[in-house]
Amino acid sequence: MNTHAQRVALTYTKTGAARWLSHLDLIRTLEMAIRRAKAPIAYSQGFNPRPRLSFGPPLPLGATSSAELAALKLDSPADPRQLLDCLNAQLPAGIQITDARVVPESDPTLPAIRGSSYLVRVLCRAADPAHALQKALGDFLAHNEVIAERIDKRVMKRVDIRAGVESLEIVEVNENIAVLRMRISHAGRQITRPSEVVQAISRSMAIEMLSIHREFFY
Amino acid sequence: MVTTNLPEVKPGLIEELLPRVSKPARYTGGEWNEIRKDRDAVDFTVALAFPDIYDIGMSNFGLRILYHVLNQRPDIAAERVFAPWVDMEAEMRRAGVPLVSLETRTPLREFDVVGFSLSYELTFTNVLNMLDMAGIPVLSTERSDSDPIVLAGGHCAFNPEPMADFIDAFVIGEGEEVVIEIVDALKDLQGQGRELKLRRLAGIPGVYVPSLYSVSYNDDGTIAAVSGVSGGPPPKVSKRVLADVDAAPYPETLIVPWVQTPHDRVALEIMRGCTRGCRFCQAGIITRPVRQKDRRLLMRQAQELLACTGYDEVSLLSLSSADYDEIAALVRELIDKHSDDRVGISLPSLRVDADCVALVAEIERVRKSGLTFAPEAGTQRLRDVINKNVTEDDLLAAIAAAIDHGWRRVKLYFMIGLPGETDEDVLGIPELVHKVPRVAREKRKPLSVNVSVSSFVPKAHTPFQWRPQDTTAEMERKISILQSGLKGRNIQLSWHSPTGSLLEAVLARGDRRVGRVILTAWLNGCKFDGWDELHDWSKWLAAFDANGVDPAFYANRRRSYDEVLPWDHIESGVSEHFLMVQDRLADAAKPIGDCRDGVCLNCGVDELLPDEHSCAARCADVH
Repeated sequence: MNTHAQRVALTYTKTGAARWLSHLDLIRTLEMAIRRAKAPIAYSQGFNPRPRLSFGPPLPLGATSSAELAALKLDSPADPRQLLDCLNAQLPAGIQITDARVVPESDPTLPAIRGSSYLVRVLCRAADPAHALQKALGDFLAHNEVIAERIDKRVMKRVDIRAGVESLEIVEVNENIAVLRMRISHAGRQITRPSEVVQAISRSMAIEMLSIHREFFY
Repeated sequence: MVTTNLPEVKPGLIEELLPRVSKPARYTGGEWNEIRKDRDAVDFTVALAFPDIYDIGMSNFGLRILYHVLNQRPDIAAERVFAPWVDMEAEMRRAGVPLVSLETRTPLREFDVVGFSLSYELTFTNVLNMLDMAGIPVLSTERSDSDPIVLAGGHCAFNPEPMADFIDAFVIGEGEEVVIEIVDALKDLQGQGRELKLRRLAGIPGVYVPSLYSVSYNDDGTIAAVSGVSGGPPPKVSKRVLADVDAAPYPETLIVPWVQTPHDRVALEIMRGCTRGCRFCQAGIITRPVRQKDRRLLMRQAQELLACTGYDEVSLLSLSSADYDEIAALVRELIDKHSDDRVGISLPSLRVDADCVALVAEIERVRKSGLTFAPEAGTQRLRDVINKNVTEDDLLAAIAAAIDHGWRRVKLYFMIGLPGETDEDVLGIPELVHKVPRVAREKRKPLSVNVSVSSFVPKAHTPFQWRPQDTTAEMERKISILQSGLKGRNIQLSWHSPTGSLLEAVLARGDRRVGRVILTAWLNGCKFDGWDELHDWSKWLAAFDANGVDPAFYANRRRSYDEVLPWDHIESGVSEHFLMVQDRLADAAKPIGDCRDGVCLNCGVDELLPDEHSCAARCADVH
């Protein structure tokens, strides 16, 4: 047991070109930035040592975020502010660390996450977008169950996406572009995807998804 | 005009297409160490195009060198472009988005030069497809003064003829120096007509402008003569070669691709050329002479590239890295310097001998991959024919060493259809392979053996350039011999598609008449011909038929020594006499040694270099 070891929790953005990185490619990108920054990261034991780095729930491919989470373990203590600066100097555009803090060894690797809050931009083709949306969201929330089809490991599955939606509201409507906020629970095995919620709403009104942004975890 | 219908250019729409395609990170650009210049602040722009997907293209070393060499010049911007995978192509064509560069998303047709890297014949249709997606006429003759100059280089440029209709000028040989000469010449002529520009390019050593040559044919279909237009180009174009590899420009930074690529590590080129003299090997001839880079320089470059990328592995690149004179010292020094940072070293090309296995054992901390050996042929006689100086004892000793050092998986490469091959030689493959697990059993260790078989493809500029390829029926018959001969729990056999090998043979030794077939095949929808899931031989057959071209004329015919070969006006520096002597020695199953071990075999390449850099001067240093 290394007594100098220290654990650091990071909050980072995923925007711009970086939002098209798959979770695996994102991990690789961060690992290489850490190596470039020469941060004193700890490695796992065993035949093929890996950097001690863990990640919060993955983002849907193409979604942006201002609140991604990662935790890394260091071999020797480092000032979190300096660590943040030298990592940011080595990170490609779109991935920037906004917060780094030392967390006690006794804490779980990542803080308990109940759910994600997403901002979803949609294009509405209805005549009165605000009114049509209001009604469509109300209809969605009124159901106890909304079934979506999802391809999982090449198998078509039917999953309930309603239970995972803890709230769904309109943030703003500007001409035919609207921003929705949805809070989606991470509990359970089948986590609802924001795109599936928009897909379900599109059954009752003409809307099209433009972008997804994760604003925070809760 | 030969183009498919491409709507007006609407750039900037790439983002909207990305949600619908696989691996969108291939198309965004913006990677770490990307060089993005203000296009208004430069005088000249070059699109470096690779006719395969991002993942493959980003592993290409030549492209990375040229990107660096060009971008080092403040007045030049070099940007990258790769072939979009079929899903992205469909989206782009549907939305009317032209092919754009990664760096600034500029449509390709707005570049001064589009330069393709041709490293594999089965990417040729992708070149046409990329030009078409860019809105650049695929035929050189249909381009106007406002279109870019379309260049191509790489190993396939050593027989440029099949692509002569589509490429304005080819670069023969090593590109680092000549690419700058080309840009300077074109910069000088900005605003002038294409013809003038091409004539000027033809005056640069190592540049071949096919439109300045005409080809006449004999009644039997062979070539009568290739002649330059009047007042024009040199009768023969000699390859470019760097005299001093230590002084050559080298990337100080490497782009870190967004996605994991097949060669996801620092590639450190330690040597050019190879003197082993395998008679089927084109790379071994056209990259001669052997030039080794200075060990101290390599140490510095490894250090720089590791620091700027964050990679944890350095791969020592060359055709035969174990032949680098100071390989053991270089490896030891790299390990000493970088092992604290958990950097691994790898040797991609492995010699079949126990010493070499021991060396790799020393550098691979983890036996994460299997070891690969290439005996190439199953019998000693046939290995003597091809001058692969490896014996069964060498192989079994190497296998024993691999097992002792902890490997549990080996891969063996063989070829079928080599010149003079008999069924006995084919049967020799399973016979040799079965001895491999026996070595493991004696040591009471498990070992799995992957056997990979490809069909011999005769290539231009090699001693076997006159030889016929097996027919596909013969390849299939030999593969079935191997299938029934190679049985065993721990033995896996895989083989290349026979029609893919046939196509490669036609494109590798074709003349200008094959260009029409390439055009028709592409119009029929052929692309990514090297990808099994997209390779469509029936479309190619239709294209051969439509143009009255017989693939067997190019692939399966024994050519005579006095026949004019389509690439006779392109010079690799190795004399035809040397190739003929080697070809005759093959008939006699006589191997020759490695010229680095003693006697110069007079291949002729030495004449390309100034005296102080000659092979003779280097040999004198060593011995």
